[in-house]
Amino acid sequence: MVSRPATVACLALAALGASTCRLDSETGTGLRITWRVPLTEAAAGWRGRPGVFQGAVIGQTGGAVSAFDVRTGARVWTTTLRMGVPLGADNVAVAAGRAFAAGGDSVYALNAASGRRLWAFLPDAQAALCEIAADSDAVYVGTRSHHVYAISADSGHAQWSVDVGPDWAFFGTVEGIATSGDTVYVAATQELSATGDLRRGHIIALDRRTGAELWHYTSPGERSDVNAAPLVTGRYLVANDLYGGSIIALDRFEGAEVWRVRTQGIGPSRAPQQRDAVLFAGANDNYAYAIDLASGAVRWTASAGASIRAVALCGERMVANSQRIEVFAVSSGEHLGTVSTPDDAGLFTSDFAVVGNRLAIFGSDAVYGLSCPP
Amino acid sequence: MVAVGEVAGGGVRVRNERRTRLRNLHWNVNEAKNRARSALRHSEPTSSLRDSAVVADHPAPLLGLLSAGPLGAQCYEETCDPEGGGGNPPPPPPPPPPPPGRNIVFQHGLNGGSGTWGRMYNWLAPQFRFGRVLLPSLSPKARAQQVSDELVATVAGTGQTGFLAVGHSMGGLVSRRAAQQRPDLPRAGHGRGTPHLGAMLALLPRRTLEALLDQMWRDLYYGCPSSSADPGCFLAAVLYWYATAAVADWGQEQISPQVPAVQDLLPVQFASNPFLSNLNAATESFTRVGVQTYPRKRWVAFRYAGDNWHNPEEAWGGRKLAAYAGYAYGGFRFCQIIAALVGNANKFYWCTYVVDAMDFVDTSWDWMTAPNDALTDGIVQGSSQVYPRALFNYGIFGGDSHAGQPKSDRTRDRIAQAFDEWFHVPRP
Repeated sequence: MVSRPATVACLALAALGASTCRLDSETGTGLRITWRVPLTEAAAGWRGRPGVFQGAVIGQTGGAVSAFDVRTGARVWTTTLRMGVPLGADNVAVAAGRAFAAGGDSVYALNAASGRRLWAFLPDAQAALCEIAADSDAVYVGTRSHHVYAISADSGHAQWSVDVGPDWAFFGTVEGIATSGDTVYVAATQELSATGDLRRGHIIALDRRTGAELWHYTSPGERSDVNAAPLVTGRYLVANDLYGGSIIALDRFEGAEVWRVRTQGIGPSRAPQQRDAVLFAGANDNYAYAIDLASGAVRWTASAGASIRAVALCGERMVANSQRIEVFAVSSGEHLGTVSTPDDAGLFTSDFAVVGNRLAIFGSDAVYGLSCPP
Repeated sequence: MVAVGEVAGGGVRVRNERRTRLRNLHWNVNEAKNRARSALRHSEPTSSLRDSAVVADHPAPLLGLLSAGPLGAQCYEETCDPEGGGGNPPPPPPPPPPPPGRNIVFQHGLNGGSGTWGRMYNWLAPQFRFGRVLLPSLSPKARAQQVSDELVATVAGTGQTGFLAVGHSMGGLVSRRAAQQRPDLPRAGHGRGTPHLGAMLALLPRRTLEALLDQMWRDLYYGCPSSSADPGCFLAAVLYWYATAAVADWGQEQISPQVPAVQDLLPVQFASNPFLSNLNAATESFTRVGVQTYPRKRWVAFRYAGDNWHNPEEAWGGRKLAAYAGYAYGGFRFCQIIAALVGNANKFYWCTYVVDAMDFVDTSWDWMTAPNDALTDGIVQGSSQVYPRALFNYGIFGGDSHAGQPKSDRTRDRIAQAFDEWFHVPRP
C-alpha cells in the first residue's frame, strides 16, 4: 500500500493544481507507484488497452486521446476527438508512428509523436467494441455489422472491406483483430438467438492485401465466443473464449485447433501474454494461469480473489488487474501481494502498458505509473 | 501547385492539385477533374471519375464499397489524397445512422425507489448508447410476484421490447421473474447483490433483531457520559446513529412480518419459499449475468451503515467508516497492552471492555447475516449472491456493502464490463 503521508501530499498537490504527482511509494510487492496524473471524472475510467510509442503510453481520456511519459507521467500531448462524449475506444493501436483508435463514431488516426489528427474514417457501423490492429500499411477495424475494414494508414481510405458473417441471422460483432505478415486474423462473436444467450465464436484468417478468406474456425457448441484480438506467436494463434471458459490455440496457417485449456469458470477477457514458451492469462474465474505454449499444459494457477480483466509481464512479476493490481511471481505463480490506488480510493480500470520495467495503467481517478524490480 | 499525370490500369490518374490551407483546415483542388466534370454536364455518374488505378488494385469488396459512395475519409494532412478531389469537394455522405440504443430498465430492490440507481445511471449514460431508459418506482414492500407484474406492465407500456434489466437486491429477483414471464420484454438480466437463495437476515424475527441491535449499542456505549468522551463512545454513538437507524430501516420496515415481501426473501435452505424455488427452477433463455460483491468481512456492519446513508467513498461512507472502526479497534488494543504494562487496571479493564464490545458487534452481525459463510456483502450471504445458471458471474472482492453497491464505482466498472462483453451495448 502507498504510505499515508505520501498520499496526502499527493492529493494536496493535486488539489493545488499539480497535474502530475510523484509518489515513489513501495507497495510491498516489489512494484512501486512512481507517478499519478489525476483525471477529471469525465476523462477517467477508461477500460481499454493503451498503446505505447517511444516511451509514452497512449490512451483514452474522455473524448480525447492523451500520451503520458511512462517514466515521469508528464503529459506529452492530448488531442480532443469528440466533444461531450467519451471516445469509446477499446484500444489504441500504434504502428509506424501513427496511433489509431476506433471510437463510437469514427476511426481516427493521429501522429503518435505529436498527437496531430491525421484523418478520420466513418465505417458503416460502430467499431468501438473491436480491439483494432495496425501495421505500417493499414489499420484493421471490425464493426457491429460484422464487417472488417482495412483502412490505409496514409490516406484513411478503405483498401478493402468484407462481411465475415453475411448469413448470420442474429446480432454479431467483430471483437478483435490481429495481424501478422500477410494475414489478418479476425475474432468475432455470432449470437444464435434473439436474446443472445446462445453464441458462437469465429476466427477468420483474411489475406491482408485483399481481404480474401484463407480459413475459418468456428468454436464448438453454442456457448462460446472469442471476444478479443488473438495473440499471434510462431505457428500458433492463441485466443480467449470468455463464454466457453477456455484459452484456445490454433494452427495459424490451417485454422485447426491445437489445444484448449479449460479455465475453472468463465474465461479471460483478453488473449494471453507471452514470454518465451509460456503464456500468461488471467480469467474472470478469479484465477491467473501460466500455460506451456507448445502443449497447452498448465504450469501453474493462482487465485487473484476477483475477476481478472487483463494481465501483463513486467520483469519477474506478472500483474493482473482485478480492480486492484494482483502481483504474482512469473516463475512460480506465488501471489506476492496487491497494489491499490492511494488509500484504496479508486480502482484500476484499463489494461496495462509495459515499457521495460515500467507499467502504466488508467484508473477511475487518474493514470498511474509503476516500476517493477528488474 | 503540383501537376502530375499518370496512366495506370487503363485509366488516367490525375494529380493536379492545389492545396489551400486555412489555418488547420485544407482541402484539395483538382482543376483537371473540375474541367472534366464540367464537360460531362451530369451526363455520366461521377463515380467514373474516380481513380481507376485505385479501383483496379482492389477486388470486389472495394468495388462494392465505392459504388455505394465515398467511404468517408476526411483528410487532414499533406499525404492524404481523398478520392475525387474536385474544386469544391462534394458534400460528405450522410453518416450511417447510429446504432439503436439499448433499452434498459434499472430495477430497485425492497423498500427502494427510482433513486436507488440514480447515481449509477448518471455514470453509465455518457458511456453507453441507451434507448429507452426506465427507473421505475414500483411497490416497495409488495410481494415479488406483484412487483414483477408491475415491472412487466411498466415495460410493456413503452411499446418497446428487448430491454436489458439491471436489478439490485430483490430487484434482481423481480427482473428475473419478469424476464421469465415475458422474455420479449426484458431480453437480458443483470443482477447484483441479489439474494437468489434468500437472505439469512430474513429468518430473524423483528423483536430478536431489535433486541440484538439494542444490545450491541448498549454494550458499546456502556459507561459513556457522552458520545465525545472517547473514541469508543464516539463509535458507539455512530453505530447507534447510523447502523441502528440503517438496520431499523431494514429491521422494522423490511425484516418484519408485516412486510409481505419478506416472505420471498426467506432462505430456501431453511424455510419454505415457493417464489424463489419456482424462480430458480424455471427455464431462462435470456442472457444472464450476476455480480457478487464481497467486502472485507471485518467491520462490515460499519461499512453497511455508512453506505446506507452516504456514497461509499465519502467521508462518512462505508469505506471510511469501516476504516475508522479498524483504527479505533487498534487504538483500544494498544491501550489494553500499555495499560497492562504500566499496571493500570482501570484503563486495562475499560479498553478490554471496548475491544470485546466491538468484537461482539462484528461477530453478531456476521451471525445474523452470513453464519457459516465466509463471504457476505453485509446483508446477503455470499453463496446466495451467486446467480444460479447464469452465463456469467463477476466477483468483486474488497467491494462495497449491500447498501453501497448501486452507487459504487467498483460496481460501475463491472456493470460496464458486462455491458461490453455480454450485452454489446453500443457506445455513444
